[in-house]
Amino acid sequence: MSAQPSMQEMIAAAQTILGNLLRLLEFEDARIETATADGQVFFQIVTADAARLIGRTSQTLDALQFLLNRLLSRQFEESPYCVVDAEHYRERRREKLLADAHEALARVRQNGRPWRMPPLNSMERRIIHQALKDLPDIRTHSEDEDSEGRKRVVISIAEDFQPAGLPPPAEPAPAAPE
Amino acid sequence: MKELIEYVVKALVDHPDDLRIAEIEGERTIVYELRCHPEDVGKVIGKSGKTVGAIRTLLSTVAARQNKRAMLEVVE
Repeated sequence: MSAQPSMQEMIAAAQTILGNLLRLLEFEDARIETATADGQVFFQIVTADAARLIGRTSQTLDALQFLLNRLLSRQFEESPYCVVDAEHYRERRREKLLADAHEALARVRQNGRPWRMPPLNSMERRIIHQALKDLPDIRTHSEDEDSEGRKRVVISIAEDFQPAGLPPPAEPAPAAPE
Repeated sequence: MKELIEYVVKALVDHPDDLRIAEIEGERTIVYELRCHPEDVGKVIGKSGKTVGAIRTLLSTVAARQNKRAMLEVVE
């Protein structure tokens, strides 16, 4: 690795790796659409066999994304983070998780009891933590792994929160600046 | 499937020439035994086994197409 490689070079290398992996995984028809945003690279894979590519709870997609990033970081000192997606699964999953989180939030605010989300992987848990992190009356934390190595997010009322009046409405409240 | 393991692991290790993959095929199960340079074992396994776990996940999607189970073991 001599001169600092350009973003274009690194994207081309990532496309090559991803294309090789898809061929070895026997997705003969796969086509890769590439987009970039905020220094990240997004690969949308178009294939008739998207269900197999995504896998149960997106485990195949996640494995592919993890290995692509590992291989790319072996090639370049500072490689961009790559997101691998198919049928816009990640976008749909994110919307579903946010809807679930806001439903749980409403429940916690109503009855004051902690709510445990279903087991989620680290990327999914991050989406929940991020979505709720600016609410002054709410805390989120991840539980320890269960016997199957899965973790859950727990949503609860912040112990140190002093309500100024009635709790805010249940709808996704924008983080109110103090 | 051997080609898939080879492609990923060769790109991960510092000593690709020391890589050996044995394929033991049973009726329903194929076992891959991977041997590599001692310095590379950690890179193949990854933090809390995440790398080898990801390779196993990819292997199983290919194996399932042939109604088989594929196993990957890193032999020390």
